[in-house]
Amino acid sequence: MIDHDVIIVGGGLAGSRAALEIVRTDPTLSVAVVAKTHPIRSHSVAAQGGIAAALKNVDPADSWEAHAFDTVKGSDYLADQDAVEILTREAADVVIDLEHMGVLFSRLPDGRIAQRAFGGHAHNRTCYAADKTGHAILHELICNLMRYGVKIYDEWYVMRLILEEGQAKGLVMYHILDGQIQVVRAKAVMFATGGYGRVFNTTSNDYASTGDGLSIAALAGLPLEDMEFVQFHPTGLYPVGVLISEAVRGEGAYLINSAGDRFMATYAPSRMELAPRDITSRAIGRELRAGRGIHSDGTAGGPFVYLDLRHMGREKIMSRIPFCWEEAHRLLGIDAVTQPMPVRPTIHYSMGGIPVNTAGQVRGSSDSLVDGLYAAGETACVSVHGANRLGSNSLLECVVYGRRTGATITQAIPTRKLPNVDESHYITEAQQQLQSLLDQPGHYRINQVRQAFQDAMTEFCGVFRNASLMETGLAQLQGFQAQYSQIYLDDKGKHWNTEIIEALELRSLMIVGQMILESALQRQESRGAHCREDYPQRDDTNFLQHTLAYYSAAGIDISYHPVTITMFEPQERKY
Amino acid sequence: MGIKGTRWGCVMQVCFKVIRQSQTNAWVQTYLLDVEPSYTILDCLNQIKWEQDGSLAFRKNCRNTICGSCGMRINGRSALACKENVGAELARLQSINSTVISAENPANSAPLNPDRKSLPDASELIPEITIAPMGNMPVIKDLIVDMQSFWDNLKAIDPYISTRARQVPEREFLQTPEDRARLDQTGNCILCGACYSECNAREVNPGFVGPHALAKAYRMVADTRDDQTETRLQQYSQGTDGVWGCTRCLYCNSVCPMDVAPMDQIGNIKAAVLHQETIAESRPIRHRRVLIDLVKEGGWIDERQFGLRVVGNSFRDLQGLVSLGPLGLRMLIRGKFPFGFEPSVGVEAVRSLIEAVQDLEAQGNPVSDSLMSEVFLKG
Repeated sequence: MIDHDVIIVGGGLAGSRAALEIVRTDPTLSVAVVAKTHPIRSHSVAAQGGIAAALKNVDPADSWEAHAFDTVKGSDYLADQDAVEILTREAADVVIDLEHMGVLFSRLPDGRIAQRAFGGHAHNRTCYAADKTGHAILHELICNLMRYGVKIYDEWYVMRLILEEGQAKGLVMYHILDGQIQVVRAKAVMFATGGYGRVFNTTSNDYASTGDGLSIAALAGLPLEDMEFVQFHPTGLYPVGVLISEAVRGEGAYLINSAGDRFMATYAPSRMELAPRDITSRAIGRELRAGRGIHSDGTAGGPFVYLDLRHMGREKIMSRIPFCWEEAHRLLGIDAVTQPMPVRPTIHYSMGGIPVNTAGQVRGSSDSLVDGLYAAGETACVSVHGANRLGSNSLLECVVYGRRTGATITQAIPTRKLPNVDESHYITEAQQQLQSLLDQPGHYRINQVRQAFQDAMTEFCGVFRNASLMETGLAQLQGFQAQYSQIYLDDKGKHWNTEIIEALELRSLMIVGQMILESALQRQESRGAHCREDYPQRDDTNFLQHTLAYYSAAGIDISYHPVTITMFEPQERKY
Repeated sequence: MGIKGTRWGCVMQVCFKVIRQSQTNAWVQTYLLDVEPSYTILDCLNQIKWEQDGSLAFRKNCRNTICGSCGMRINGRSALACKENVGAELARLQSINSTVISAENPANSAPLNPDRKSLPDASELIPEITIAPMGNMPVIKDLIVDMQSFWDNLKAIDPYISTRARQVPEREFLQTPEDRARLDQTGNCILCGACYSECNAREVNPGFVGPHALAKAYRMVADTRDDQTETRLQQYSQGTDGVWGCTRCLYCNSVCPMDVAPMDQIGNIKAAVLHQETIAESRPIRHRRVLIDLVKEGGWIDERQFGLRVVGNSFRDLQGLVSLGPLGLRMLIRGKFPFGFEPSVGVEAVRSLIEAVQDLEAQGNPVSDSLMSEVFLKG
């Protein structure tokens, strides 16, 4: 058995910022980060556009209150406003702290941090490092973890949370290198495992975004909040789905349909291409349905629209958004200086997650907290994004709430003892789980089942939803779950066996998929990213509340949790 | 993944030869795939793993050239599997083959090497792509290498900005766009290991920290916010673990998928070290300074003086001087001892070029290898 004061699952922005906060405050604490990839490979590294903060470097009229309003309006009034206030008030401070740590922000001529426009933000407040902001921040954080001697278990897969009598006591983890299973005991356990883009067949997310932390929490009997709110990013490069950053529209790119029209004039005349992501994604969806999409040969009626940078000029493209040019060139052979890029919405972000309070403590139900368990970042739901997240608020959430959660943990540790854990019980259980996976004679390849599941989720729980679609999706999901016990593995060893990991990840994907579908089916209204064709209106009377979904083998129970409204009364959301 | 048949282009057959390794065995396994030229190598490996052989092990994650997971050797050089695609690989192989053939067969006559059959028409054979694990790191399984030394060496250069000695302002440190631009190249490093895998110095010198670490080291030196520049330069110029261990083979520059140009950054650190008067002069530093002085004096190197001044430190290092003895004797015996020295006829031109570069540097312009060659071309 391994003992640590703190064990953090996930080495992305939220997890590494929390770890750093703890060791900077109290270097005597034993802090460990466990992740199924090396932390520097975490999906945070792929974040492109930037991190929002009212620094007022380019827009003196900006304020944290304005940022808070934009965030709440963007969330379609589902965000908890106390959490949004913390997010936006602490934003400038965390960005300055990152800068002092060495993060390579882009600069204004006078040497201050540069800021640019972003979707849904009424002021230019997005700080950035060209279009590799996540990379710039994550690399600096991980190098600082090395500096402070945080123990890193890289390429270990966490199989379960040890939760007994309402207290989080530790983890069971599997070493991909050699199949070793270890129980880790800790005074505090934190989840920062990111999102689940791989539930769907087209996503901007990396292969590791399989919702493992969400499914581990659900399997431990903990609720997941607002899982129906799945963000489609409007500009996934067609057909691969990798992200073309919103920064590209922030810098002035147009969206055009087969007729060559800037169609956003119809949907969000005041913000045009810089409307929030839910609205822009639906607008593209409606253009495609109306036959104004484009085919590969340039004719009308096809599956994508164009993102047009041609008027921006080579110099601006190469200095502000070089990565997007490189993506289109590498993947499609397109020169974005002279050719428009084919794009369509791609699954990007999870607004929902493990419910936490503003100190990062996990909720066990609407009115209780789980002792010793914490979460932050995309895997948590605090909820600052409500029904739709604004661009450049996710890096901010990771850093603000990573830091806060780290601070909460640091304060809690002195009064906590290492819990008692029956190690052999958990090791035996994990060994049996893996052995039965290796031994089962099945006749499906992992990818067959996964692909069919991802296709179904995309078809039945996409941008536009209705009850009959989602009921079909749930019925099909049952079939895929039955197939899971009939998958077979080619690799029967335990030496760097990534098939074992893919099989465990598939289980996570299916649990998360079921939580999304059930939560979405029960929310009979349209709000933010959740668009019901059978309930097209927002319904504040019945649904101005957060969903809490509880998983069990027998089915999913749904209950609700109130929204905290402190500053801005809900009003109609128009741009 | 759902990409099959959705990308533009034609489907073709390609044979993937993968160098595989288990704990007890190593072998070459071939897989036949139907792919399109636009498929990345990673798409192809996924197709193998998901449809043919689930036991094949390789790292992957972002599939968008930013996470650095999928470094491997593709057709002989280290690269990212998610960056290279089938069409470009085949074109590259074709151009290498045609170079080999024309070199072997300059007059278009019969092949000089009778064992090498003339290549059949491209249409007749299934093209091959060879995949192997990265070098300079122990193989764990198939394409998975143990990167521990890579991370340890990164840590060894203290890869974080230190502002301890300075008062940290309430707001951000100011950094002009020009100062910031000096960090662009090194800031792009994704720590994929491609440079480390091909590094000739790493192959023979286990103490050398590697191009990735030194590129990061230059980032720290060049970052205006760091206050440890002098200590760092001292640290990075110790023995052959740091910048003086580089063999200048240029491999790191040529394989880096992010254009970090590690060898240029190593050169930048060397330049900073040479300009730092307070750094204790060591043999590598003296080597550089004497080289430039001698070339300035004579247009090329006066070998007699070179050894005495560098190793003997102009008669100050008696031990070093004595160590030259056996070499001098061997040179005498073989008749290679240079008794005289003739300055180059171009000494004036050479001197003026060196002075032009030194003037540029004196005005505060960092002189990169490419700028240097520009100056020399003009000269």
